[in-house]
Amino acid sequence: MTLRSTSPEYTTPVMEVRELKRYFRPRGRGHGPVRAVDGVSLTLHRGEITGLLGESGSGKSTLGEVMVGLQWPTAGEILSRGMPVERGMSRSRWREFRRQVQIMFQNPFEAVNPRFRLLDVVSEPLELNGVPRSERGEQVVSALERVGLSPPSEFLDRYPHELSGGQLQRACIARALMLGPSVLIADEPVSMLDLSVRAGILTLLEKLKFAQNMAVLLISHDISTLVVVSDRLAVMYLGKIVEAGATDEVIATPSHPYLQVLLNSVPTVHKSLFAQDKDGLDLKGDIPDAGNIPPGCRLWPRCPLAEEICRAEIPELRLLKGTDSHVVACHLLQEQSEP
Amino acid sequence: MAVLLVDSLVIEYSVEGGAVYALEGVSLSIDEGQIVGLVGESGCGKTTLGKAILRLLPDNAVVCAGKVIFQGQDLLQLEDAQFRSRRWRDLAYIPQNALSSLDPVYRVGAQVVEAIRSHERTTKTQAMDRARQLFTSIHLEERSLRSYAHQLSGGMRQRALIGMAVALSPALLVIDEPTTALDVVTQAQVLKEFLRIREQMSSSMLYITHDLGGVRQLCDRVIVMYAGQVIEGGAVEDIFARARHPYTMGLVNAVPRGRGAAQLVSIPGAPPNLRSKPLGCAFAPRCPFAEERCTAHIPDLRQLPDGGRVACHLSERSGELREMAERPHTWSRMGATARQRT
Repeated sequence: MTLRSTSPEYTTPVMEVRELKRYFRPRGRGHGPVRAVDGVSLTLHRGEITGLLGESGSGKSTLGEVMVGLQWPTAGEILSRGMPVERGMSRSRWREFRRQVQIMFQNPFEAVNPRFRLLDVVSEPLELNGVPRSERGEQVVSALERVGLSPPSEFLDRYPHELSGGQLQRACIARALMLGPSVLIADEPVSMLDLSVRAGILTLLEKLKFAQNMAVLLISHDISTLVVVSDRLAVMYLGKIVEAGATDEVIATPSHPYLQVLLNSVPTVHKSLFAQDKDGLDLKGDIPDAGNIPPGCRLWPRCPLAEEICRAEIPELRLLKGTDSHVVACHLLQEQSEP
Repeated sequence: MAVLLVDSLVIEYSVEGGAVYALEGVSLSIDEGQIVGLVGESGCGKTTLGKAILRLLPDNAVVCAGKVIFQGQDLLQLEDAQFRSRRWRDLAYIPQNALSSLDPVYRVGAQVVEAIRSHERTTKTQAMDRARQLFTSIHLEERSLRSYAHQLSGGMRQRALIGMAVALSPALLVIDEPTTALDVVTQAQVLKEFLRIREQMSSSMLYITHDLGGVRQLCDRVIVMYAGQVIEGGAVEDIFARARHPYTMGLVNAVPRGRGAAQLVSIPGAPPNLRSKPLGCAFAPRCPFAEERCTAHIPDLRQLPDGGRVACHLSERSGELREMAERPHTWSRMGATARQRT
């Protein structure tokens, strides 16, 4: 278990989003907007990895892109170290925000310029921020050491295609760290890597959350990966968070039907990763399009436990009684929870 | 008689500056109604093997030696036309990316009907009826038949492809990473589907994947490949509980098992560049247990008393090695050496 210091630096969130929405314009006449992110609130703390679990179509990647400033939200607030991020903010504040929140993507080969040597790939953020060329080399070498690409001299002159996926992903992490961000958003960082290489990257992220004093938002569709290094877990379905809390808590007591079915469905190699009930709940049908979100609770057409109220009202996230921070959005848990 | 018997297959790809060795003498067999998993990481040759069986290799692939014997016939020796008459009817392929395998300008139902009618003399109506029955049995609504590929979700497309593949009840299905693009819940449903198909049609399957969890759920036996060779094979439970090859041990221990990255194994280094043949065991540079003889002689793939196979000079000590392989430190301490040697 990690011990978090009680100093304000750690207890105040380093990044916060409140009721964040990102809608896309409708496809054509008679279609509503595509509500990719539909009211998400999250807080990120330094020294903590927050896992965001969602399948494709859940809006998880869109959320990541909005949080890093690659897209503007349709509604809601973003606060970076207490400072609001909004249209009309001053140029210097915008640049400060972009330095503070960095991102890494699923496919490292698509995230770097194939014509750049590694030295140029990793030093690009420094160049864009006016760091003189003479100082860049040293910082790059130090960054490569930190991510395990050692000795750096062996990697500086190589081109992306000369590296393995795992090595290149480490270089992408190094690049993301160059400006000393307080938040790293990692969107499916290991999904495209071979199994035997994944642990190395996950261990690195775990080490860096303290070494760099930053928060990590780890986005993935793979619960097994998330459980390894996440301190906190948030589960997303069709644009909304349906369950969240400390990882141990959420895994030991999954409360939302969607998460329960998900944990039941994960094919495991090692026994007892999750308590699984093979004959338990199952979901009907497939996840709907984000342009056709059902009314009320988004899961009701597929949920085996759905009742009338589920179709009528959208459930709010409520705190499960007896827990510090385990929240669930499900009408069937009214008794066991409080607002 | 085995439904499929691959015998000492050697395949290389002709590229600028020489050749890349993809398969270095691979042999395997699949019996009727058996589901065999083929696992390995990037560059191990599993996709090449799958495509070789279906004669779907690219133009620059060269079959240097070996046979692919299906129901007693060497598929590699058949004329194109002869092979085409067997493909789909007797052996079928379920590829990885469903969207790029369905024709976007025809409705899905029409494609299933086409597949059926190209091998059997039936009327359009009869074929359509078959298609309808088929789709219902794999839990797809009838209206999917009238849809275009892009109108279906990823999971539905994959199931449509499965439907097409089993339309003619083939004896062998070669399935290539069918669940990579799917969410966990759909993945589990698709795997259950395969089990049902095996029960109802006694089809044999070669399930090619890097997902060990899926293998455990679906397969009877597993074959592990590394750098173009089979390095271990056996019953599913044997492989997971009592792996005999260090690479298999590394893979099994790399699968997440709960909280704490500290417990996860990461195999340092990378698979060998297949432009030059290895001198000894291909895994030796990355193996924490490698000895002199490992780099000097390529280990033979030996039959074991319990029916499994392993290619490792140290297989007698596998019990002792397995214990050490569970500890990440065993692997990480040789990190620098492994990187230098690869």
